[in-house]
Amino acid sequence: MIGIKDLPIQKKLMAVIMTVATLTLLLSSAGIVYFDLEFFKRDMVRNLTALARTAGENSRAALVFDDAPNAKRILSSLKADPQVISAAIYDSGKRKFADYVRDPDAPFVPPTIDGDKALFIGDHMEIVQPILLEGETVGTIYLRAHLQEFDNRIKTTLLTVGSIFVFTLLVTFFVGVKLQRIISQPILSLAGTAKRISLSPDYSLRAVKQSEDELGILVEQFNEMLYQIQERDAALHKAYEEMEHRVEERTKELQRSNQELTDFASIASHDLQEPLRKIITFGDRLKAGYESVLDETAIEYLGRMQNASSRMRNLIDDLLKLSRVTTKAQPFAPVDLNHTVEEVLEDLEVLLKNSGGTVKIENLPTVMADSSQMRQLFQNLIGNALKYRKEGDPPVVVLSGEIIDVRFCEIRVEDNGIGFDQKFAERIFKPFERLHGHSQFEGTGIGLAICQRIVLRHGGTISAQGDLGKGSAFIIILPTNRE
Amino acid sequence: MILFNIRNTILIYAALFLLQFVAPPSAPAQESSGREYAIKAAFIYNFVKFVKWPERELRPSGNLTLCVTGADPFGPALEKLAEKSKTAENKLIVQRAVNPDGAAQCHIVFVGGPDGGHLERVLDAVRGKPVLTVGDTPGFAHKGVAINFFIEDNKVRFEINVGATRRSGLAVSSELLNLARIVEGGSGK
Repeated sequence: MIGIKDLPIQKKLMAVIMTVATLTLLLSSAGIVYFDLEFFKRDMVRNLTALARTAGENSRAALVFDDAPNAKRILSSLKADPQVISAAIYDSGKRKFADYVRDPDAPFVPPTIDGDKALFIGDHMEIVQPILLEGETVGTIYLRAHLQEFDNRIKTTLLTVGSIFVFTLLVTFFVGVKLQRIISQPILSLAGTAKRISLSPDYSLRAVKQSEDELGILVEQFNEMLYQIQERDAALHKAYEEMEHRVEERTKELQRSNQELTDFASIASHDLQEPLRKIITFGDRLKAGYESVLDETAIEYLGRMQNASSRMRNLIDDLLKLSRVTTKAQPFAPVDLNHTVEEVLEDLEVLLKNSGGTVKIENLPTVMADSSQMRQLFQNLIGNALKYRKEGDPPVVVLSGEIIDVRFCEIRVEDNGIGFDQKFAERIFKPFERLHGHSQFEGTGIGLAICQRIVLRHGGTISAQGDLGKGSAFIIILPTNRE
Repeated sequence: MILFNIRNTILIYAALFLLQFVAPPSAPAQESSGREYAIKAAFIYNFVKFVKWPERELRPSGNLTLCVTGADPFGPALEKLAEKSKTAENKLIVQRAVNPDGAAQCHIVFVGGPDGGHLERVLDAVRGKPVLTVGDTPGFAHKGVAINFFIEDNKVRFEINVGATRRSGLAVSSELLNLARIVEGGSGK
């Protein structure tokens, strides 16, 4: 029975049918054989007992009149029954009076006998019957019969029952093969449908209901489930399509407005630069040519004007840089960031010397990127790190790279500067957002916005972690190989 | 071979046993050993079991009367039989030295030999009556006695006059007839 659980349902049903049939047949066959042989044996005993009694009755006169030859003649009549091997009559004194043996070469007759019995001994049976004359026992008859007929009967019975056994099993098998389909067919059909659906998600398929029983209910429920899945699938598909369509539209819209904004920023900056340049130029000329004729107050006003103009130029420059991230983009090429950072450090040489800061570079990766934008990115980040340093504490900036997996790498830019409150971690990336006044730190508030835009354009992310008074860390995740 | 020997031994003993009491045919009855007559008496007792008397003849007692006429060789054997028959279905009552002319009152008559004229008288008395006549003299059966003992191979055997039994109205069992030598005669008397 081991492994029957894993058999296919048809074989399982057949196994059950055949096991039950075989058991039933075995038990009933055993019963039939037992009772047949038992009845046959009883019949045999009865027949032979009757035979012995008749022979005894026939020979009682010979017995009482001491006529042994006649008794022997009567016993000889037993040869008509082929079962009888030998027979004998004993007188009332238990002495043998007459006997008969079928085969003189193998005679067997006990010298003395008594009682009333029928015994099966080995390959023969013995019957002993008293001979009565008017209620008085005048002698005993002994009959010995071989069991050839019983053996034949055993053979015949076994052969008959065996044939019926085999035939019935065969019939059961063929009927079973037909009948098991009543149960297995709907299950197989259901299983087949389920398999087809799992192979190609076609929820319009339906299992065929073949009966009104539990299997029928199962098929109904299965179909109902399929219907629901089909409905849900259709709704899902529709929603997905709608969503896609909407996203597409929204994207187009966004691109358009983005473009407009960039165009506007670019144009506005260019247009703003021209008048500003005139203000600055004429301011310079005013200062150079007329400083001697102007009184102190006028000179101070002129200085303030020149300061504001200069700040405005920086602002416009930064705005232009921001817009150029998308408008003046270069195609991607492999960029060794170690090299990029070294170049940036050369540019920042003066700032580094003034602040007394150090920059450590640890194991930066090579990425597919726009090299000028990478330079701009690190220039901003390292510049910030040096700029927002703690008073009297030489800044230490650490740049480290790590390959996260096949597709992404992580670059950390950490400093020991003034840091920031973690709640501003997102706000600092917005343009014109500043956490400090102009008087404290110079800047337009656009640097980190440019950084974010560059990273996003490269398919990466940038985030910030700050600890007020202890330092900050910028974490950039970039794809290593952008196709 | 051992069995064969045992059988042989038994046969030899049986022969010797019979020889003791079987007298030579020429010897007179009274000189015969008592054993022979014990056997004959036993046979007579057993005849009763194979011979049927008409119902009315046995009423009311169911007793059977055994008479002896002529020479009486039985000695005490008959009394022993009578004693033995007390528990049997038909009790045997023995009457000795019965007048041959009164034999009709008996159920069984033993006619002792040799024939001194009493045989004729007995047969006349029982003619047509259900009386079983028994003798042990050669030739008696031919003369009309129903059952007559004789010795053959040193064994007591008997002959039956079927005509005599039929005329007397007695039913003799075929089992008994099978063992007997069948004779006829004596019908004319």
